[in-house]
Amino acid sequence: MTTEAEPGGPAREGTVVRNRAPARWFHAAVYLSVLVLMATGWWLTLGREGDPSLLARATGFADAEIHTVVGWVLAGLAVAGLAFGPKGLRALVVDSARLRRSDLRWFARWPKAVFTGRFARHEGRFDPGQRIANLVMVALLSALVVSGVGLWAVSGGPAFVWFNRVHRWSTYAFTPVVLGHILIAAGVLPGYRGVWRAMHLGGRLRRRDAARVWPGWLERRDDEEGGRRG
Amino acid sequence: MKTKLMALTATGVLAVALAGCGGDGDAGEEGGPTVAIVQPAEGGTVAVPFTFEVDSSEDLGPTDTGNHHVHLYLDGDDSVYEVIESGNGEPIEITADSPILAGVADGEHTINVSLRNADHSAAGAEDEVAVVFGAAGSGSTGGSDGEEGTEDLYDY
Repeated sequence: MTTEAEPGGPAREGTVVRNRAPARWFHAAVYLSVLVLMATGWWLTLGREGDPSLLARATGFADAEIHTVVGWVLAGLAVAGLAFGPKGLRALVVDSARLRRSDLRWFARWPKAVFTGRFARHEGRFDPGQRIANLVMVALLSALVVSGVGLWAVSGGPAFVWFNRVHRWSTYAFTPVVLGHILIAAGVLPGYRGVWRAMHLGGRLRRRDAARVWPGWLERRDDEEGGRRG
Repeated sequence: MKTKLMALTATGVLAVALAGCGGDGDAGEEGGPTVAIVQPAEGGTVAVPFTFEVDSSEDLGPTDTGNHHVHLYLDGDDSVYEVIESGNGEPIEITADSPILAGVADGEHTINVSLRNADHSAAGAEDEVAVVFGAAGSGSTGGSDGEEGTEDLYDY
C-alpha cells in the first residue's frame, strides 16, 4: 500500500486521486444539467407539455422554460470547457480515440467481467468501452448543444424542423448511452464497484478498484509519482 | 493564452450574433402575428367540458412542423397550460383531464391565450376573456348575464 494525496489535501491510506477538483466539478455541473435536460426533454417529448412535472411544480416555471434555461447553462459549460480547459478536453478526446488490437480481448471478456471484476488488461487512461462512450457522448452532447442553440435562434420555420430532427435523434441516441454510463459509474455492477469515487467527494479511488479497472494508468501514475519522489 | 483569447472572442461573437437573430417575437409590430379567443365569449358561462375556439393569423402545428402553437391557460398562470396545435378557427373541446382545470374552483376566471413560436417562446400576440366557471349546462355560452356559478365545475 502506498499513501497518495491530492496536492494540498490530506493523505489517505490506500487511495489514489484519479481526477483533480476542476475536472470533478466540471463533470458534476455537466451531469446535473444533463439530468435536468433529460428529465424535462423527455417530459415534453412524451406529450406532457403544459402539465407541470415535479420539477416544474417545485420551481414554478414551465418544463419548456426550465429546459431552455438549463440548456443555456450546458452551452455555457461547453464554452467554458473550451475556453478554460482545452488541454483537458484534448486529452479526453485523444485518450479516448486510441484503440489497440489488444483491446479486442478486453471487449471479449467484458460481459463476464462486469460481474466478476476480472477484466482483461488494457493500457489506457480509460478502459476501451469507456473510450467509445466518451467519444459518443462528446459528439452527441455537441450535436444537442448546437441544435438547441439553433432551435432558439430560428424559433420556427423550415430550419427549426431540421434543428428539431437533429435534437430529437441525438436525444434518442444519447439517452441509452448516458444511462449505461450512469449504471457503470454508479458502481452497482460488481466489476465496477467503487469507481464512483473517481468523480465524487475527494476523487480518491481505492487502489484495488483502480488496479482492477485501469491497471495501466495506475502503474504509470505510480511510476511518475516514484520518479518525482526519488 | 492565445487559444483562450480566441475561444472567448468566438464566444462573444456567437452570443452577439445569436442575440440578434433570436428574441421573443413581434409584439406591437404592425402586421405582426395575432391571436384571439372566439369562444367562449367575454362574460360567458362555462361548464366542463367546454367548447373553445381560437383564431390566429399564423398556421398552427406540432413543434416538429416548425409552426406556431397556442398556450391556453387560466388566470395568468402560464406555468400550467393546454397546448393548441391544430384547429385554428375551429371549435375544439377542452375536457376535464386538461391540466389547466386541475383544482380550479367554480367562479370567475380569466382564460388567457398566448401565441407561441415552435420553440415555445412568446410570439408577441395574446388575448384573454373573463368567464364564469361552474354554471349549469354543458359547453360554453356566450354573453351571460353575469350569473355566478355555484354548481360543480364538472358537468359529467
